[in-house]
Amino acid sequence: MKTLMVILCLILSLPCFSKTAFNPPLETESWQEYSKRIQIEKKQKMKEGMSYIISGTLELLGGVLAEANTLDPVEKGVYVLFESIGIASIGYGSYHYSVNSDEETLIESLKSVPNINDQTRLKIMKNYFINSEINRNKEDRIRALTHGLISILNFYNGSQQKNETVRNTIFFIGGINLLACISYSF
Amino acid sequence: MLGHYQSVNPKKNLKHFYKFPSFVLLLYIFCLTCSSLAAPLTLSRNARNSDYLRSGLVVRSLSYACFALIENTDDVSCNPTMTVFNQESHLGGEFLLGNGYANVERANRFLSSNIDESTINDLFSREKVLQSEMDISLIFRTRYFEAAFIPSRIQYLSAVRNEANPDLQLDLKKEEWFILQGGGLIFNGFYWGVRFRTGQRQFIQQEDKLFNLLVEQNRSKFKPKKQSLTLLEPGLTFQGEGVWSPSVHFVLANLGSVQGGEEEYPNKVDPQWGLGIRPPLAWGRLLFLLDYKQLGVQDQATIQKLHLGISYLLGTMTTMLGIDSRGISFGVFSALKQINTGISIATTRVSWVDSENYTQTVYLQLGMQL
Repeated sequence: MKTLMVILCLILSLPCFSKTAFNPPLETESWQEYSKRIQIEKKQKMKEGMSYIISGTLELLGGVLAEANTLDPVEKGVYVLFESIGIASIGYGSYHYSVNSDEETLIESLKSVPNINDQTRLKIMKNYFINSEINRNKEDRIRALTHGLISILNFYNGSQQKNETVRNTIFFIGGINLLACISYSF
Repeated sequence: MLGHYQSVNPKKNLKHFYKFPSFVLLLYIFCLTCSSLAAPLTLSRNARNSDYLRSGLVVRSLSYACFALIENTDDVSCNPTMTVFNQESHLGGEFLLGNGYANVERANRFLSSNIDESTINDLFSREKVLQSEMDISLIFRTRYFEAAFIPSRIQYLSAVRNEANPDLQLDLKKEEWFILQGGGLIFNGFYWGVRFRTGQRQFIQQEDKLFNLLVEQNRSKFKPKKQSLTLLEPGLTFQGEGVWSPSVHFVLANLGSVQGGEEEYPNKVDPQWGLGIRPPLAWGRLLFLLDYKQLGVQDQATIQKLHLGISYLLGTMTTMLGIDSRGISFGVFSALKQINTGISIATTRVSWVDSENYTQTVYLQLGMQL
């Protein structure tokens, strides 16, 4: 049971590891200013990562101690979950602390190329964000379509359901997916 | 706007902590005042049950002082204007259980008018106070908008006093809610919000001699009553830009129509206020909250409407403390993007008041998000 819970929590926490940073250079910003800003944000991100490691360690230790001191099976289950989230949090924090985002990697790569000037570096950076934006729009269209189809399916299934509570729940999920579809469409 | 909190330079602003002792002194005075009211609470209620509000574990742990709370991932915001500060979209489910499942089953038996010998025997033979709570919710949050569907929320509390000829106090309810809320910016620092909630409540609120329950004809008194509510609750927030990010909140609660059960649960429009401050720290986020709101029908005095909460978030872990005239609560909540869990302990007993009669609740919560 405990192993299953740990595996479940780690699988569930995997999407947290996706890279979400999106921080293009400002119109008025020079290459030096931009790379300095990203450097400050990187330090902030490392500190945040350390916070996750500290809180994860506390959760893990607290969970182990509390689990050993309770007899209630439900309470034990919750403490196991605390331990699992603690481990996942340490992993998430370590990732934040030590792994560069896409833009940080690109900045590091551009800095290490000797034969180009700062203006060219900035242009490459801007082009990278323009292309990323195009990809994001494509992603949003696919998400809108997916949520729209889930919504239609849920509304249809809800209309066929006789149990009121189940029907309301399915309609609620349908409604939420419809809203998600609308939000990704604009 | 959340970026505003992150942009504060903690090192530069730590000098503001010199003002901190005065705040601690105020906190101490508040605790002492609350303790004077805690003694008569005894068996009549749970420290963190509310007749008017429902909430997840985080808000309960903070004694419902939640108007300035942004970092709440286990429920919809308790102040509709705070939807403006949501940064990501979430769709998830939460399951909250207070003091085990056995009493929830007993509550269901009462509400289905199925009071049999075993139910009565339980009331005779068990502890003086039995209480339990269950709350299942589906929650959707995105920027400017939130929705929740609560298919089942059950609260059960029974208290037996006077062993020779026992008096029974029974307070149980089963609710179903649908909540929609949203908000936006009015102008610099001022935000509006509005919450629409509609729900049904099935309840039994009765006091009688326990022996009367043995006579079948008397059991009709324990028949469940019904109440339907449709409420529209506007809110207003001012978010200051000082170092401590002070905020002031106003919500006009319980504005709407109610059908049935008004004797037990009168619907009184309640102007509610809230204050929040965020002292800057080098590590984590600290939040002090003070709300003025009515939680129970019996709460009429000003001090009974004051609720103080302290929350500290570090990484994935939030620790919370709540103090009010009902008692004290302490909770730990742990949340990753996809899964969360928490435990909270609430008691009507305060260590400096010597009383045999008190209620204690352990809440457990599990949640998953898509």
